[in-house]
Amino acid sequence: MVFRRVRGMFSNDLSIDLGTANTLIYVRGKGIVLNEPSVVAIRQDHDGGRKTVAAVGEDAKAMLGRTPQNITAIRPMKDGVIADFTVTEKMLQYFIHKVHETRLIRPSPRVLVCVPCGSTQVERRAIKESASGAGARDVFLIEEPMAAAIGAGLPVAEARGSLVLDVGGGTSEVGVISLNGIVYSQSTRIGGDTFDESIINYVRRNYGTFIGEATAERIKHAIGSAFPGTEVREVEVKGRNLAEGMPRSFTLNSNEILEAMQEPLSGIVSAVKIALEQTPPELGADVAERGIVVTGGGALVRDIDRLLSEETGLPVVIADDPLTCVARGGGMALDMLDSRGIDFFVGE
Amino acid sequence: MQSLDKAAPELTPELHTDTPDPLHDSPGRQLQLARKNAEITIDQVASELHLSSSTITALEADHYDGLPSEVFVSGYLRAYARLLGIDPVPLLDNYRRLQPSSTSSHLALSSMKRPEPSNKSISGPVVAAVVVIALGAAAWFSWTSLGGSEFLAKLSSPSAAEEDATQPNVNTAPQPVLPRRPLDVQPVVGASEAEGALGGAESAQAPEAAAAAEDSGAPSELAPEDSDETPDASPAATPETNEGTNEGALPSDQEDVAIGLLASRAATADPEASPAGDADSEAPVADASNSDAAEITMLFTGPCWVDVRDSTGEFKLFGEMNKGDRKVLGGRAPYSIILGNAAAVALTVDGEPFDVEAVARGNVARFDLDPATL
Repeated sequence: MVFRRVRGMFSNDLSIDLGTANTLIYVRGKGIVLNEPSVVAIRQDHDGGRKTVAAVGEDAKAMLGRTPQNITAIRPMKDGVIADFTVTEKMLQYFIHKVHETRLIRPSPRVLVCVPCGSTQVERRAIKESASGAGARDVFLIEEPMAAAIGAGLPVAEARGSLVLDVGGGTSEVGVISLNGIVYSQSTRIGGDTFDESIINYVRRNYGTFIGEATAERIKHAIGSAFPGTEVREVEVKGRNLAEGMPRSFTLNSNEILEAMQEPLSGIVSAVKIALEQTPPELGADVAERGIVVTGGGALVRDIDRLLSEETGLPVVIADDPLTCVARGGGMALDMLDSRGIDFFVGE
Repeated sequence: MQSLDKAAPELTPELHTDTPDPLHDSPGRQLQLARKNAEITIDQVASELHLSSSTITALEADHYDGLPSEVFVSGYLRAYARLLGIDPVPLLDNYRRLQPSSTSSHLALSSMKRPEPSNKSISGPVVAAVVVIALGAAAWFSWTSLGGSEFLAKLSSPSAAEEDATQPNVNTAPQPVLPRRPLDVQPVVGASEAEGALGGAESAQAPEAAAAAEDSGAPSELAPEDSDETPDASPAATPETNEGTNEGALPSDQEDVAIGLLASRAATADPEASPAGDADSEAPVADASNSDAAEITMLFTGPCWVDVRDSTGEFKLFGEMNKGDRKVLGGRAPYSIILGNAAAVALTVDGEPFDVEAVARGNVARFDLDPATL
């Protein structure tokens, strides 16, 4: 314990957005220093042999779906929570080490981890333990809507309601925040991964072709949109034709992808509508006056703000740099930790 | 600007004034001009963007004070620009230039509040090395000045050190001389032994003793006497003390090392701190009180660090005891006792067992024991 404290003197406080798709690390005073996919490649030399970490982050993501038998590329987070405890710990250990330049002393930082508001006590404990196991001296947890709101620059301390929607890789979180606290929050297990799955299913159903997750994600980034636009964009895709068993190429357009993503998108819209229904009227009026703020990687889906705006009849605003909002917000909360106590943090 | 001027003759003057200039016009002005060019009313814009007309007017007038925080304003501007078909990026850059953003200033402030040490990778190991060296030096100094096991004990019981420092008893002064070798508990120094064993050293210290006694204002007639008799100063100064102590300590003369330590030795070994007069005057009292004192015995059933002092500070028992050791306390009650491993000590007062566990806090017992009050 004493050594951890000494090592802590040589460590930076970190805010970690341990996401299903990406892990972001914010270092106090430095900003976002790491943004890598939450993927770990495990190598097992022979059957029952010792497992070793082959790659983490970008390198491991490049291996997804392209690994030989002895390597498995794993995404240790699923639906915003830990699916594989040991691998998550290894991944965190790697990332924490990576953001510390000091190699001489093993880092032991104070770490703030963002957790989905819908996560259970067991899931939160697993995240806490995992961060401790990765070398963290103290672990604080913050709910993602709160971190997202702080990171987006919403006036969370004011006695005014702010509605924030964070569309992550595995989950979407809606939170109504006032006076540094969460008044209402709801987490749905719909996120970027769900969009990818719907695209895979759509292509299989309509083209009789099987595509991988990485290809689906690429399609989403290229031509995915949430609202019908005037411009139709196209992308050429290669996949395995299920009837012939041969790789074939074909062209998809943005309207098809919009159709493919309808189901998860309407899930998100209904989550926001439910949040507005559940919000106390005073806070609801504040939200109606100023609007909804969207953060997370899902905010980058083209025209998602227009969709939400049309569906709810409220102004919808995409936060600046929405991908890093949660990590930045966690970092700001960490900054306020010493001065304002632990207003924002949640227990297990 | 020059390029614009060059292009101007091709445009009608009216069009020139109505064309938004992303470089020089404010965001509000650009939006207003674009809206007018597109022939859209403020109300139409407001209903498209689900905002109030007053918000649109404020945006066009660049009056941001009445609008919500920056995240919203930039979102409104982006949506408005998109509605009018303007590229939102230069517009937002322009806005941020005009309006030093609260978010970025907050970030800047927060990073300024806690500046991270620069070139940490270099300074880290250096500071670590300095800290390690400093800790090592402190540990070595404490070890050598206090004695090994006592140091360990003091680490675990800091109040012991405080007690040492604050005890007002003059007789505690000889302490530094005694615990140098805390593990070899001193045998009772009889008159002859003292003469033989300590003679050399004492005689060497005799002049110092005399000088110290004079300096410290000891009775002048005692000082020369002491210094004259230095080789056997201890028996001469406190024969009764020795006897008294022996009576108390030696009944237990088994294989245990008898304990007991003595004013006489203190007086000779460290004359500066303990003027001979003190020992002389107190010795009979010690004798008297000890003659009918209760016998306090400690039987150790396991390794245990011990620090026992009597009220005069003359009697001390220091060091680590082993399993099977048996000690009988000499000196004068009440005793100040610290036991590092209370569970391994069976303490009896006149044969009556004393419950050490009751006064122990955790494994360490720190208490005063006066048989008279039991």
